[in-house]
Amino acid sequence: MKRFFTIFFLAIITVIAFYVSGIISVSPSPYNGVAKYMVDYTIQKTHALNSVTAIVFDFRGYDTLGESFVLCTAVTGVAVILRKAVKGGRKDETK
Amino acid sequence: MSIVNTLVIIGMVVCAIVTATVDDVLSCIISMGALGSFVALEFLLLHAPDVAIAEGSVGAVLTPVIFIIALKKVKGGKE
Amino acid sequence: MKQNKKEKKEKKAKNIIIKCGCDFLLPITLVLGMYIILHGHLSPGGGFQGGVVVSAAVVLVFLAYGNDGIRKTFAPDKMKVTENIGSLMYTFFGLLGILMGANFCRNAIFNIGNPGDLYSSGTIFWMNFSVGLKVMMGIGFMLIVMLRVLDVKNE
Repeated sequence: MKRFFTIFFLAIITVIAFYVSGIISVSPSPYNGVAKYMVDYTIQKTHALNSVTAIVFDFRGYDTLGESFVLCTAVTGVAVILRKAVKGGRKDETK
Repeated sequence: MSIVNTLVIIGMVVCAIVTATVDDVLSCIISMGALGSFVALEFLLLHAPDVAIAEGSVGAVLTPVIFIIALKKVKGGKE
Repeated sequence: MKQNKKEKKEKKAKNIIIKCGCDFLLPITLVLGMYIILHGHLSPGGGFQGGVVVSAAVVLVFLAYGNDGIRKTFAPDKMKVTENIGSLMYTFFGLLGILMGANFCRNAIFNIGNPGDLYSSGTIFWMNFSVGLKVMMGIGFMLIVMLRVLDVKNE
């Protein structure tokens, strides 16, 4: 019975995934508002040729700020959890 | 869709199936690294070199190294 | 005793291929990573990608020389401080917009130089540099700590 339910729900999920991807690939992409502004005014507003970097570091500056703080938190967590390894690198404590 | 694109996608699927089904953990990690490099190649073929650099260095180098360190620390999961 | 020496020699001969390969790849990795960081606004790449490529040097040094080589080469305490300096640099260049009379994270000095030059796009260049510094030091520190776990004994 459990096996039947597993296969049944997997089949439903597969059908929905194919249906949604078909809709997405057919429907026209919305090209107005802020996306159009970013594509049109990248070189005028930022003088950067690589538009991906211009969007990440200029139009979406808050996003990158939060991302860098996420990395800072990850490094702090590693240094706290593995503090025996951080301490073990000193010369007086090895051997 | 060209032939190279199709071959890369077939390689991705084969690597993912090998990763999920193989018994040895070290072979699993190595095939996951191969999956990462296939994904990077696919991004490069789809004209996204930004994402390809990040995926190629994170998915093919850093993740297998960290998993191999963990595997070596627990001595293969045997003891 | 004699056999022990022979085994050591064999181990050395096995390691020399990896050592030469890593010595050959290390400068290429460092120069390519710094190129990706500094040319982030002209060519594909940016701070995060270049930083990750540079921090792979830790793995190369570990493969060639082991944990002793890492202990001789890198200084993790200074790396931790440098990572925080990168974060503060990013915040300062965000605040530069407020100091120049606009909103936060505004590119207030974008019209220095022509588009296409190396130093051209104002704060984007400096933000790229600070994020690259931050990512390479942060991931390098994480890798060094995780590799040192292999030396620490249980209990």
